[in-house]
Amino acid sequence: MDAPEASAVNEIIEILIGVDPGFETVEEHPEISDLKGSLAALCLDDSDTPVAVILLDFPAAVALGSKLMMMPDGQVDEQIAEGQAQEIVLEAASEVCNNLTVPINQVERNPHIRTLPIESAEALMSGQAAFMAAPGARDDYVGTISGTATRISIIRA
Amino acid sequence: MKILIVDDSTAMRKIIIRTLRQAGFSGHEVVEAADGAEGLEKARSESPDLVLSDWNMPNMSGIEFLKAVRADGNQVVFGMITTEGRPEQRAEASVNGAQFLLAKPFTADDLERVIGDHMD
Repeated sequence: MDAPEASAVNEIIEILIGVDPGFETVEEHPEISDLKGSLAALCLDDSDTPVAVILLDFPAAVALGSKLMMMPDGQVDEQIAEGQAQEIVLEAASEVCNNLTVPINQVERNPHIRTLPIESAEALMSGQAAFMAAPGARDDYVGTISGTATRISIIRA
Repeated sequence: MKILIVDDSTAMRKIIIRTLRQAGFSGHEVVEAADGAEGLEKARSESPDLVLSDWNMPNMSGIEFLKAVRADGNQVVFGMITTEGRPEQRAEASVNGAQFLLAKPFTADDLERVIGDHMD
């Protein structure tokens, strides 16, 4: 399974939140354990086999979810500072991951995937997505949303 | 008009309601349901004029919900709003009686384009 171009990710995010986050792919792939509070959506193929996760670091989950719900920047900063996201923001972040399946599914020869709601990345790694510890492939995108540095990772089995 | 919005995500239901408003469809009564099973109950009890339903949901999927609505003989205008925009899924929705399938992510203009003809 291949990851989409950063431009395709930016296009989807811009439709969702109204601003281009300017995501770019980066070579540096931090350990999941170093991305404290990161959240991930398990991706299942048509036979319900986990094939990937879409990981949002905590600032990305809060910023994307909050902007999708049209919250002011102050509430984004507040949730990040407190390390606590509102429930509706987490639901919205799940919806962002759901929408990110669109550019993934558009990549030729990729298996068709769908996502489950986001949960703790570390919990997923110790459960259904053990492949995250030694993935088959991984692509990271970094960009800025509401002045906040954010990271999205697409990690494949 | 009464609009039934069926999605397991509260956030997504709020987004659809907001986008309806942005598309110029304010003032309509909105009923919400969190999955196809609840949607079917509301389709029966609330007699909506328009249903906007997600595809992938727990308990009863959007396509199962659509089939059940049509099996009731209910000819309500039914649209799917989903990331599942593949031709075979569009065909499946259409064959089972959906009037349209709106692919996510969508804008207010996209929504207006597919439901405009069905709104009073």
